[in-house]
Amino acid sequence: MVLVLALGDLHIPQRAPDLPAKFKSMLVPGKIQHIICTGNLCIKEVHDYLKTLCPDLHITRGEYDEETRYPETKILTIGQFKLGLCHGHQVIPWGDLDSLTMLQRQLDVDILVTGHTHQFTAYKHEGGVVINPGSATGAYSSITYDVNPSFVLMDIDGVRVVVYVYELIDGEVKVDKIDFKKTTTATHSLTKNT
Amino acid sequence: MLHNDDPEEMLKIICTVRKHIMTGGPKRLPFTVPSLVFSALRLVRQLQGQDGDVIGGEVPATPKKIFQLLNQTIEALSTVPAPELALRLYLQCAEAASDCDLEPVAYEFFTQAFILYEEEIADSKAQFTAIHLIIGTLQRMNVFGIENRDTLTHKATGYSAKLLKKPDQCRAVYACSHLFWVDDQDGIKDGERVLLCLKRSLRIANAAQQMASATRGSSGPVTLFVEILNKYIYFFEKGNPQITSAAIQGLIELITTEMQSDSTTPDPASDAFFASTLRYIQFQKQKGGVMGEKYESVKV
Repeated sequence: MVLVLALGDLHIPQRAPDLPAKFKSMLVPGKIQHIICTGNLCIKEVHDYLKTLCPDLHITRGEYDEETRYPETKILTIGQFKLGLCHGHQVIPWGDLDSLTMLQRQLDVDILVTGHTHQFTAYKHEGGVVINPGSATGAYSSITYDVNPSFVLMDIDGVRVVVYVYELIDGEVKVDKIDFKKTTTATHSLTKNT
Repeated sequence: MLHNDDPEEMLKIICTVRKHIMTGGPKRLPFTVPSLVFSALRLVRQLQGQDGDVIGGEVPATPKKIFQLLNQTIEALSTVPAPELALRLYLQCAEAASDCDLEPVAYEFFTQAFILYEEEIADSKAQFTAIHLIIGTLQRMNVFGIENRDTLTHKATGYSAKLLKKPDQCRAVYACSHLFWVDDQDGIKDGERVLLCLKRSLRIANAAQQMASATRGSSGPVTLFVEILNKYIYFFEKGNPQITSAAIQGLIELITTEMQSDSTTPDPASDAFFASTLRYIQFQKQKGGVMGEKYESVKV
């Protein structure tokens, strides 16, 4: 059981002062094995905070990040899964699933995690899964109205991944989960378990 | 963070804070201006939901008035200077103005963004990101009439083709293809201009290959061609009549030939990308129905 925290688009301090208190109390150091961050932290203090939660931190560059040396994309292997990470402002049209699956093919990954729209989505197709953890702080977005703070926790176990999405709606944390199972490594496809 | 439920009060707060911020000087402005801008944009959104104008007070709380303030506020960043940040903020305002149906205001924000791009952003990496932000924002605008939209898309495509590195040019130009095809109900769907962009990016990719051949002795990787193939596929599936299955077949054969050629540097990443693209086409064929029929004559 490997826990991966996926989050991004915090936009601290320009658009939000901090993560919601209810999220902060849930995110405790030592429980998570990897953190993948889509970008737009935007400052070093956020980087340092995430590092205290888990030393294995992966970040891709958002267009407002202070640190310009984060990579545009990142690929990592966790368990049986190849994960791809990219902020998403580079993929036009923004938030367009077909264009995102093109990036997924380009990076050749099972799970693609991108942000930019501040809207949580999880989409399964024959090539894999595309996840957007939304904005962890609920920051203003020109693309999405009424952003609820959200982040994603993935539980990777062999060829199976359970995606938990945590959303702060009207002051309460709501959780939802989606199951994905990789069929065979040869065909690179994922089927949804209901 | 600034907050007040009453829009008029909120605007007063914003105006007051703004006066103080403006005296902050170049070291502080890059930190204070964005926060103020986003507070103001949130207020605009709040006002959008209300009917009619809020009248009264020295400064009426209307989106138009707020955008005027925003224009002046972002302008202050030129004293820092912070052109990349200012460009991003102008684009945010343009999108907000479009949502408020204020065509001239949105156009003005785009003008400011383009001026910054032209005059202040010289770094090629920064230009690449900036032009993508411009294209991405413009793609979503539905407030512009034909003339204004044409002027802006023409500018965007022109700048894309002038980026320094050929691969960057190629990618920016094919990104522009999306400016001419918007999936909404009333969105523009100009199949011909889409194809023109794709063909142009193909020419650039060819030129990049030849240049690599001439200067380094072997062609670069075929990644660009595979990216363009994926864009052809995208518009083919959206129903652009100008994109034919023959064109897709042609590209597949071109890439296959290039990859097998002795003078091409082998590259596992582009191999994998091409393989997953072909897998995708195969899957679409097997779907049957309308999609399967579209791909019938394509051989992978």
